[in-house]
Amino acid sequence: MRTRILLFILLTLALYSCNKDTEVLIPSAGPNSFMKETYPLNSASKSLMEGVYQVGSGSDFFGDHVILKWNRTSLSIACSNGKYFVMEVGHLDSVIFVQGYWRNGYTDDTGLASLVIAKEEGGTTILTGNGNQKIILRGAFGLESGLPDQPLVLNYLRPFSDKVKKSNFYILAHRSGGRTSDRLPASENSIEMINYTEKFGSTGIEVDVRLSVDGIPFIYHDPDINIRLTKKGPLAGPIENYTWAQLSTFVRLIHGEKIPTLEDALTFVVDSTLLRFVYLDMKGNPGTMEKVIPIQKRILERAKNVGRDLIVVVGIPSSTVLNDLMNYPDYQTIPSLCELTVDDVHQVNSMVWAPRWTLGTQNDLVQQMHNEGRLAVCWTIDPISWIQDYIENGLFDGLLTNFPYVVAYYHYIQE
Amino acid sequence: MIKKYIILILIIFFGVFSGYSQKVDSLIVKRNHYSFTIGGGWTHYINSLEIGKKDARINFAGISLKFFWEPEHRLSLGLETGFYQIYKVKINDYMNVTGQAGMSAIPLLLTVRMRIVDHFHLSVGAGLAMMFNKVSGMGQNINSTILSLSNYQFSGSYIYPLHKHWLVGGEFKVLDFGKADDWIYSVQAICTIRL
Amino acid sequence: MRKVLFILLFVFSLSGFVFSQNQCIQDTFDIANHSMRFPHQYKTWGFQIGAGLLMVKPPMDLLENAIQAPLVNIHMTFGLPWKFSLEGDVTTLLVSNQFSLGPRLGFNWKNFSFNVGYDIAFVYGQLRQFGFDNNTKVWIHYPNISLGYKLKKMAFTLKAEVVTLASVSQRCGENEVVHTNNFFNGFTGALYLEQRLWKDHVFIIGFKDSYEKFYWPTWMLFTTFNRYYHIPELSFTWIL
Repeated sequence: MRTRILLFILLTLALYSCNKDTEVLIPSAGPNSFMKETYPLNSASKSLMEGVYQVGSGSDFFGDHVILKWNRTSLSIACSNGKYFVMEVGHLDSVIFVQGYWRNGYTDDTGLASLVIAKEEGGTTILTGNGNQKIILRGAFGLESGLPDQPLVLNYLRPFSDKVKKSNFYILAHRSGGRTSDRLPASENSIEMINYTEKFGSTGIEVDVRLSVDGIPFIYHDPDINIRLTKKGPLAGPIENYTWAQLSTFVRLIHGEKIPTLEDALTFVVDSTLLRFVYLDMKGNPGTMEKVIPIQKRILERAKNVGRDLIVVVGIPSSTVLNDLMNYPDYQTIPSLCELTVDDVHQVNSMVWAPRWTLGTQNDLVQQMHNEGRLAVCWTIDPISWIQDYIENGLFDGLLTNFPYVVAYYHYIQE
Repeated sequence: MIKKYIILILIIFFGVFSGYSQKVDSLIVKRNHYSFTIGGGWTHYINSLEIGKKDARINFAGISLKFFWEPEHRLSLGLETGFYQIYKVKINDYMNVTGQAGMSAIPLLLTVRMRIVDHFHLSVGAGLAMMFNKVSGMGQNINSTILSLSNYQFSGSYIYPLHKHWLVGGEFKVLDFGKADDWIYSVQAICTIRL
Repeated sequence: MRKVLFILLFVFSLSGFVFSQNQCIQDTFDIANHSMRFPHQYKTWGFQIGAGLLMVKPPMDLLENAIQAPLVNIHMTFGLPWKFSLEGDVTTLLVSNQFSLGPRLGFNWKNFSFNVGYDIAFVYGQLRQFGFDNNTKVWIHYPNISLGYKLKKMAFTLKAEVVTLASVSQRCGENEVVHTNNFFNGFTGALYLEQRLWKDHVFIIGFKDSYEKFYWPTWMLFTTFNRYYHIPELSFTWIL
């Protein structure tokens, strides 16, 4: 009997130890990848590659169509079912090599992908701009860290429609580009995540703003220091009890990054990214607003000086924050994003109205905002079918999401 | 005369022993008991810190308090609390100031204990814990209280009856404080009064 | 005379020592007649009810918004003819509630028992969040098997369930924001230890691991987390 009971206890402990969250390792071709032997494509060539592709082999896995869109550093391929590719591209002679990984954003599925555009299947056309070759990407994808062994063929179908090209739609990524819980290569609300998120097709970000006890705004979501977001260290409890120096010295985000100050994060957005929209979600205590607005002004000035068309708005998620803003002189001139009612939008003259997505597309109110010269975006929409519905049937100027590649797919595939 | 004394001593011995034998019979206890146990001893933090790991002190003294309802069979049902210092980390070279950060906890657990063989028990408990994070000597003192909602303990104990009401023994226990996923184990001497 | 008295006293005291451990009344207790998770055949038309607490250790991903508190559980069994029985279960966290009911068909062999069952559960949840009333209605199928082994006063039961969602509907105000039907949601494995606590009342210690995508107490996170998790539960149940 003793043995049986001990077995019961041991089994219990063993099963408890299974609760550790898994990490998703991004597969890589490794440091000896031949991609470093290739030459980068110029802007004109990149532009020729973009568009809607029909999936030949591999459609069971990636859907019937994908979109190819270049970002600042790499080529993004977005699928209809939540899968996406992050690919490096280079050429040798007239052959274009496309190599990277795919990932299902809603699960932990991932694998390597390797594609080639042959000289006679679009390589020459893309590189020279001459000829009328049909672009075909041929290659394979793998599962987990296995070598790519499942055939994948992408056939160029059409360029992005004029509607898409003319639109100023914002693909807004949550938590500076992606949540820690989605097991991405960088921690949420970090400069590293801001640097990465364009690979998902994001054109804007939302960041969570808090205030240290000595008045430094920084970006971090939860009210406390916890092991969900940070490496386990000696500091714990409410994060806004600590000075910025303490947080900077003794707290590291889950992938080892420092918590960034708001000013550092926004400076990085201006100097090192092509992001066009930053939504400052004010999580902090009353008094945060007066520290954030001067930073917002400095960053907008910095962006203007380098010719960047960047929107940085302070978020108004509650009446407390609304009152906080209204205590600021000339508050109606401050670019803000109001999550409350249309009346509240008018009261503080918000640049953007941002209702919760579960309230519906509300096309009449969105149209009213447009008529008043305001933007409307909604937060935080994640289910694929709803993203599709809001893009096809809604009038929003942007969607905030945890899955920007899904928004990218349904936006760029519009005819 | 000596024989009479020997017989008398034997009578007293067997009489007393037979009386005690009914009290210490571990298989059939005749009625409900309530017990209060205090324990104290060594605690050891299974050091899972990723920052300050090398500078952490992880051995401390800890105490536990338990109240059990002990019905007539093998199982007992009770509440357990205690105080455990989990770790203390010395923070050096911070703006030339030496500081210290520490975590301690007071659990409040619903506990089920089972007698496996005479005097030997296994128990499992689950419940709440208040965790206290104290940072000092870094320009300001910060005390944070954190509510941890998912906490567990597993323990084995040996309890020997000295008297009808008094028992002593030892206990080995493992505690998990879920908020920070901090695990400690503890070896404690325990003293029980059973009514 | 005094010698006789001494001898009698000696024998009496000795007999007390020798027989003291067998003074108990013959105990006819059989755990199979009083247990609830052990998959035996219940007495026809016999009814049992137990109350308990479920302590859950949710995965880190769900800690951001999930409500953490012990769940209150009421479990019932009802004996039917021909080796059948009916089991009902109510589990509540106030904002999330599951009601399940299903038949069992049981078999005994020596100290082993085995049953197969099929539960149908309805989940109703309601939570005011971001200023709006959110609610959910979910139908879940739980085909299950249990294997038990009993000693005289103790029973061990292993139970496995397959979890299939028949329908999930989640509303925010007037808008239905989730509507999905018929998908495989995962499975669960559980181990229960049943033992006497007081008189013939049995206490159950249970450990269950749910490997599921949709974990019903955290229904409010379904739109944003759609991944399989191991979710351990520790349960204490007292058969009333």
